[in-house]
Amino acid sequence: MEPSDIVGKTKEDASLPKATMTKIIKEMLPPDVRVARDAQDLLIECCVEFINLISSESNEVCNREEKRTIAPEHVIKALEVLGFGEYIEEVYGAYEQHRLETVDSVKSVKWSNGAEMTEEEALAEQQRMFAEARARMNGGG
Amino acid sequence: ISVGRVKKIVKLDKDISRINSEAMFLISSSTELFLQFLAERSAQVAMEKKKRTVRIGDLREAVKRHRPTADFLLDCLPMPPPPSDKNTHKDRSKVTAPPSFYTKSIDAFFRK
Repeated sequence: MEPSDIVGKTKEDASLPKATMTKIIKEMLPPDVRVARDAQDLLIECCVEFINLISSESNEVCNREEKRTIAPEHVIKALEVLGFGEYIEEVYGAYEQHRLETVDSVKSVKWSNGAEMTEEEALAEQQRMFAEARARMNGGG
Repeated sequence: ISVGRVKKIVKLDKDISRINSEAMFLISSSTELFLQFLAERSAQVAMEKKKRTVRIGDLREAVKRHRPTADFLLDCLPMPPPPSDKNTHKDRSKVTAPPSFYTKSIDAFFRK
């Protein structure tokens, strides 16, 4: 990886909301523990790098499958490949919750690029993939 | 973490053309988990050292301890600060040692 890939381009242009991040950080710590300001800033930068990493890998997964739009299953696969498979369960749970909240207003969910699946089929397909990923994760250790 | 902000960061990558909004949500959730993970681990390191304030060195140590994270993040972290007044009381070993373990191994690599 070239240093120029890492340095500069995201820092000035877009970052994550500091207040939200600080709140999340504090929630994870015991009440009497503080975080130095430069460490806080660094944590935020690490998250930005994480986003770049995941989106980049998701993009590659997407391209390998010859799809044009990055879909949830590509992100799941990327997480697994990068070694963050342990996040998948929790992330999936949050995603399901989010879906349930939005699906009431949107009857037909266009799930992947042009594929003609009914919502039930799409959900079943997704369940199958997550189960596979989980099995791989548990089997692989 | 707001999906909108995450989206802005993702869009900065010119290789990425289109991304489903649900996929954005997943990335956003994962990032939040990642932040929690790093924060918690860094705090653990600080507490092991009986410190009450989490510093960059603690974060660095936490990153090193988790292989997938170390693989992508270690290069991005700033180098430890040069010896200064702050380091005089406890961390003498860090002050007298060569600037970093990494440069040493790189040098060794080139000497071969």
